[in-house]
Amino acid sequence: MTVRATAYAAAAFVLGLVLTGCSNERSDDNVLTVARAVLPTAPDGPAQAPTPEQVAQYVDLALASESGPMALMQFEQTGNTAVLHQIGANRPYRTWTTWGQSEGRTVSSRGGMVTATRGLGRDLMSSDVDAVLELVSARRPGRVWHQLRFLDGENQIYAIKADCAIARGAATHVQAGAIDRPAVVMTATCAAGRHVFENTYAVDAAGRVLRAEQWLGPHHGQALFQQLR
Amino acid sequence: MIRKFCITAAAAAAAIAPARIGADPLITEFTNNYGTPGQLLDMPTAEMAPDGQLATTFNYFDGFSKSTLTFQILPRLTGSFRYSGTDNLTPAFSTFYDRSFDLRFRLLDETAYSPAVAVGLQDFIGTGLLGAEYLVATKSLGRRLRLTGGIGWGRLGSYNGLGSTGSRPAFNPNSLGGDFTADMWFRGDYALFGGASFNVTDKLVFSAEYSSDAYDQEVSVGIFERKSPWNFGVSYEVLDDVFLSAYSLHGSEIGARLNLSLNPGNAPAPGGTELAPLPVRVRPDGSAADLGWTLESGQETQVAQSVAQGLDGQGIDLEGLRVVGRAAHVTIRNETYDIGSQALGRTLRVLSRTLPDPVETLNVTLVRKGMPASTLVFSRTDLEQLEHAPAQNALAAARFRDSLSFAALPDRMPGTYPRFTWSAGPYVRTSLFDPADPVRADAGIRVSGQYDFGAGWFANGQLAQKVTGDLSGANKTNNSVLPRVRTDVPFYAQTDEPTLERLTLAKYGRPGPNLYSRVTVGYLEWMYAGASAELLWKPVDSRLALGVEANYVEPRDFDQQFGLRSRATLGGTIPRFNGHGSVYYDLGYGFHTQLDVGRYLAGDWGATVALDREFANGWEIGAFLTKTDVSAQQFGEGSFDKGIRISMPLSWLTGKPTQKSAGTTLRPLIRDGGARLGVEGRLYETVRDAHRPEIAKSWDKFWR
Repeated sequence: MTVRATAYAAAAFVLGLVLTGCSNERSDDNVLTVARAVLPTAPDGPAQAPTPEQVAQYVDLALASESGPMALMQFEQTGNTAVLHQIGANRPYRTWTTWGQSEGRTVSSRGGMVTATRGLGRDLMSSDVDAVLELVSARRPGRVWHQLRFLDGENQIYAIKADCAIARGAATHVQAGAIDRPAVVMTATCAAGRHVFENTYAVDAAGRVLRAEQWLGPHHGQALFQQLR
Repeated sequence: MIRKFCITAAAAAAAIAPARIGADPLITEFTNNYGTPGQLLDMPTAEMAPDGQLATTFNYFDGFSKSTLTFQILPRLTGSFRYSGTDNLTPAFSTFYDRSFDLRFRLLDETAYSPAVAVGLQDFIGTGLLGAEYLVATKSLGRRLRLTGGIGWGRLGSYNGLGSTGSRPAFNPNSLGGDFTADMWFRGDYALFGGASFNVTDKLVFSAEYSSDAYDQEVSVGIFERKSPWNFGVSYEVLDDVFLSAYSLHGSEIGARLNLSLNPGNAPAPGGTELAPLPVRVRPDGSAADLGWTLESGQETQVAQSVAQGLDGQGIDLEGLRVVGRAAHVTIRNETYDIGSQALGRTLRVLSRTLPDPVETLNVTLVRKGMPASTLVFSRTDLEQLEHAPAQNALAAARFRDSLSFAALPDRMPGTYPRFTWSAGPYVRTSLFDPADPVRADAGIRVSGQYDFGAGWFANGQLAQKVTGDLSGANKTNNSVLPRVRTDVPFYAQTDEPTLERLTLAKYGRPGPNLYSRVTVGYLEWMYAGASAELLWKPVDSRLALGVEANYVEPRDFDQQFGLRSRATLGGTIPRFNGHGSVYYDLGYGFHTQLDVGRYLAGDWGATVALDREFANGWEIGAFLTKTDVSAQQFGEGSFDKGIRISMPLSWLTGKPTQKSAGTTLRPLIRDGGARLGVEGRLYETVRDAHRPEIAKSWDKFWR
């Protein structure tokens, strides 16, 4: 079911029942904010990914203005692109947020693979990538589980546990931001019920994933996570 | 130009994959003329709606209307409430309006070789105008064709009867209705019915049926012509969850039907669209090991300030902070998040980022109405280690304690109180099911304010000004033989002046471990002023709670200003005292029950039983009934008080955290028996959300 009809029905139910016009309370839900959330917005138009030149320019600007690890994220479906900087480190995990904007959206990674998102809507809550990471960073083929967890409409976690065949592909060269290094492409061909996806990872000789093209769930689909420094 | 990566509501909307016809093909989102799940017309089937589905169906053919709300209570159990109108059925009313309830239970699921079998009661509490019982079997042949055959009694046994099982009282339009019609169930003539539906596509269905409903009552008064037992229809899903149907009935009538559905389990934006929390700050190795560390006295204010700021950024208010040795204790007020685990998760992350490294134990006390309602105890090391693990690992590491089990709670920070909050906005008040005009409503402006003195003292007021509406035209004739505690409602809707809906002073407190108390005095609700006192026992880990409430009331003037009126009414004197003992129990599996026993407003003694299905996202759909020592005869039309209630969390709709919800209680009739006082801020609902069982239900949002 889509939001549209559900929301119409629910909105009819809500109208006049709870909505305030204005208040000094913490939550400012009122007739207008709810209407904005519920009514269909004009379609985004064809998502337009920035050109590689635009991205490169922006990346240079970001790298020049700040030291420390940076990364690039790009969603295939929408073309939405952002340069990220690191705001948290918890053992092997790193948490990143948009550089140059305080958007309240974050991405977490482990060894160069995306393990979680926050604030995007339909977030990837957590992942088990240990086994995938072990093979990929050793640039070895094999068969492992890759588990992704999401919240459902009742705020309960459900997991998509994908069976992934990891294969070693061609040698490549990763050049992005401050990174300019030879790497090997590792592909993970995964299946979990009706979800079938292919992740690719470019791994350097030290076993670091420099670039990951990963499936982040049925909603967000494929996304690129590229280390810049 | 780089586009920021943001997800709009529209984009979030686009991808909810329909979890439609799945493993069990005998699920349908279509409803029939009676508004129950099924792909036939007047005849029932053994089909069920998806679990939790809430469907509203409007059905009309010349002079006959039915509006039905159906809820798939359990995967095998469906309940419906219906309001139907029939023109010229009886001489007394130009339109005979009638309320009815249905239940359908699936006895057997379909297998490869055997059909699904269901048993159903139609209009089983009511006048019995639509009354029928049936046993029905439905079998799918391939993906598209479904065949149904059944045996029916009552309306469904009225045409071409095969035989009879006892006698069935005839329909009596003058009966009080509203009582269980058990003396009729599966009695009288029985007959066979059947039909077939064919799904041309997932969205388009053709149906044909052989009806065993003779429309006896309608034919006998000449408002219906039954030329044939055959009915035909076509249904189409015009938009997602919006179904439109057209049909022909008995060769003489053409009708139409509209069905709007939603499923509380399918939120428009699962997981919410709120912004990200800040990550946990992990302490450098060794920095936490300073066992002899203490916070210097001057530092505490500084730390408190940064904690308060951090929490404020997450929409949470800090009331107090105390650091003793390596343990920190904060008291917080969460007025932002409807999901308790999320408020706690965000608070703990702020603490990890603001408290000095040696602090290891984090105690977070949730304050509700000035009462410390529960304390979460969490180890900072666990918080650091579990940040990227599944949320349930963090639940295993969480401990909930009664806040009173701590020797001392943090002092309130200066400037926390007093606090004044207000809101203003439109309101709509409806009156449903008045036979002269089934939907009446007033609309106006409402202003409310709350002054929080601190320490559990609250002053609360609400003013309303009607702008327009027709509630004042409601029928004022009243035959109630009980003290008119509620049936005088039309008189309260006459005024065009501003009304004082509520003006109270309340004190909440914690008289002892596991105990919570409330005293409220003033203008308690629009009809009553007085005093209300309540005591609740609820351990922080318990699914069981016990409560007592005693009330002293005086009826308010009809103009709802400051005056009171005499307690004497035409039906008797309104007693001053009423009250209840209550048992609340969370049954698990998403069900909650409440039993109230005591004295009601009219002085009648009895009990109310309520059963609600509660979704972890905050949706609640339930039913209640009250039986008191008032006889059905004294009670009047409806026989006893009952109703259904629905509450929807606004966060479900908007995808943003908020504690607001939209709710409604549908009572077929408002009478004087089994009526309760309406007091704001009863204890159970105030305290319950802060306790472990409720927080654990949606713990998976802890890291969101």
